[in-house]
Amino acid sequence: MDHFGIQVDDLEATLAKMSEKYPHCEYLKRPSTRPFAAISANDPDGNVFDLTQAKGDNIKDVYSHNDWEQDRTICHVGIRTMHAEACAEFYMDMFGLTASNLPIEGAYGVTDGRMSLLLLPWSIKDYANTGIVGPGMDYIGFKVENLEKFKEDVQGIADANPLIAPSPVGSGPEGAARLEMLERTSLGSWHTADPDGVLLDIVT
Amino acid sequence: MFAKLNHMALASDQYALNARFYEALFGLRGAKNYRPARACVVSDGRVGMNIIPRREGRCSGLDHFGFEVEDIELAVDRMKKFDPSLSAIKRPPVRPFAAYSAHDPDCNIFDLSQRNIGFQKDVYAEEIERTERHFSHFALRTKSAERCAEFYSEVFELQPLNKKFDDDNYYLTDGNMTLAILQWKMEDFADMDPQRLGPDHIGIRVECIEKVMADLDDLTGQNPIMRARPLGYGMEGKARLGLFRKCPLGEGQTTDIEGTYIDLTEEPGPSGTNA
Repeated sequence: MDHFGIQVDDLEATLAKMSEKYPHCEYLKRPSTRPFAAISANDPDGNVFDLTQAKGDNIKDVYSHNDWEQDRTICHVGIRTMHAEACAEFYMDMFGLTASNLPIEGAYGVTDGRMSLLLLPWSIKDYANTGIVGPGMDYIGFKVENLEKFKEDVQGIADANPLIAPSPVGSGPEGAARLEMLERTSLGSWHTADPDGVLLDIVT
Repeated sequence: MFAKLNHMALASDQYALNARFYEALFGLRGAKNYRPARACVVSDGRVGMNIIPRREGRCSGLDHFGFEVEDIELAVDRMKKFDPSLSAIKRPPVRPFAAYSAHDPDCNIFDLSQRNIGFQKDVYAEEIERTERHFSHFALRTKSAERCAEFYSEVFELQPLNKKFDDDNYYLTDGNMTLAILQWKMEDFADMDPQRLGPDHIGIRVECIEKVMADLDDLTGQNPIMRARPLGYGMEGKARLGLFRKCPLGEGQTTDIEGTYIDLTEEPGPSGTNA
């Protein structure tokens, strides 16, 4: 996972506020080839995100026709970061996101009403029995209409085409430790991965 | 020296092929008593590189580095003295190198092992003759470069190298390897995708860069899987290569088969010798 993006009403005002209140959070203008981003910026911990303005000229691809509804939607993204509380304050103050209660110790949730950022405290001690992954984006959350149906569909896809089967999650003692950590620090009742190993947190 | 930077690790989807690439192009050596189910490990005789299979939830590319120290307890004590919020954890015993893993003030992760502690495996336990082409530096690109340089200097007694007055990077040496701590700036990524903080590239000292490039061409001719990634293509490729070239420790640039940046130098090492 690499970065995420936020759409704002007024890009210029957002950047002016960020420069004034968070001078250590830098930003720069992106090449015009990007279908979403007008600006890339970083939060107080150096997590990179894109910024664009609603109805901006550079909005292309799915970002220009995202007005349909479907049963399975992206609902959150988990970010492990050194200073979760400070980052949560940053996103609330800068983008008007509101705090959401999370059943995860030390974590802060901020939401735009549909999509949430889960800011999880990064600690090397969480990786005692598995390979250490540095701070940054950790998993994507999906909301599904029916977990059993979703699991059946995943199995059906894997049966039909092994090249797009989920990458194994929880294998061996180190995989089991990684899965335990994911289960403890996410919202979903089932966890899997895309074929490339990106972790998915499935909620209903 | 109190500490030696003698371990690097990269995560790869093609870890075994990538290990063969380093052996074939740079003459690095694998362990005699290797463990086939785990990472492939190659060494230049002084520094080992573990090419680990990429697991779920991880990115491919350079992952971390490691120090062998005279006294782990002292190193951890110094870390805590530098910043009490820094942590170290004991590692599972399957690791061939690490007794502990820890992080610097910017969360760059490194392993710690103690000289002659007895549990090292693979290339870390074997006597391997120094290869002609060998590792020269490991580069981190990080937000608090100055503070990180102070950290590695105070905790591991790495020595600062001279640099140009307008260079905001830091270069610290253990006498053999240089740890390049490059200043991460958002403005550096104006014409490309911003890259997150962390390991940036490795450096390899060679007898002749031109010869290495000719060897790479020959290698790809022999085995088309053994090829470097194209560098400098298109506007964004040019920008990425331009930033890579700003590291003053290298004079030639290439990649391994999975795109890890490799900086090549013919310059003598910090001790003034090529050996």
